[in-house]
Amino acid sequence: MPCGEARSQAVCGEGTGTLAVASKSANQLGLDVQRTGTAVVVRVRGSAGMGEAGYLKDQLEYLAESDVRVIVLDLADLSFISSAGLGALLSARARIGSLGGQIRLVHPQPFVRQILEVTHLNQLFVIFPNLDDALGA
Amino acid sequence: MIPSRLGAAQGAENKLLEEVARHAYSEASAFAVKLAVEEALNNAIKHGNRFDSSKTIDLTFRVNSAEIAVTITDQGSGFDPEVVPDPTAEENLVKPTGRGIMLMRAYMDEVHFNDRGNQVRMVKRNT
Repeated sequence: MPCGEARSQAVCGEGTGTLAVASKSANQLGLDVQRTGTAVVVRVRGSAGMGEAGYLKDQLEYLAESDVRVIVLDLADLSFISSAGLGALLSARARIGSLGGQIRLVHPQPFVRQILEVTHLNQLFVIFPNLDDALGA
Repeated sequence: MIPSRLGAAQGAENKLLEEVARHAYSEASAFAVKLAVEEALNNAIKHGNRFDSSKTIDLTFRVNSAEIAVTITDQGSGFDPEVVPDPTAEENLVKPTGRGIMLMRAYMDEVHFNDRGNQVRMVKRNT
């Protein structure tokens, strides 16, 4: 029975303020940020597992502290999220919430939506039907 | 053997998922296995081995047309999985951690811990 090998291929960003990351594979995390007034749309690409969660947390918390009232996470290209990735979202939610802001979600893929439902986190994160609604609410 | 670093498990996960794909499991089953293994490895690294670089994690798997069986063992002192709080309880929803075991049980057909609590065996059947 083969054993797994120990090779780290996940990308863990350092989260020092750089907001745009080019993702090279489906197992890495990419964040494309576009600012609209006091709202920010973050297109989350790839995978938010334990190797990427720290970077995701750092980037979202940096945004939360950048005079932003609303962070909209466009999850259309997020193929995977684990509890670590969810923890990053929760930490960012708490941070922006303490400053009077919100995190909103749009376009979760079916498996990601299912995880949000199984964990009951769809009670904490509002999922909007489209980007316009998320920005206009 | 996997070192106790969060990014080190990707190679092992990928090998397992390649085998799952080779046996033509559904996308849902593949996702379930990926998630459960990730959660178990995360627990082994963080809670089992406490990021101790001198400790490793063993991941073994068997994939055939009937089922996927994965066993993950850390070198920690173990724990009692029955005392982990319910992460879906209202008072626990906002907490950033504590969902791993619940997700493993939700997505796999069988989840068994050894008596010591440093090993978990999970099974996903092909349906």
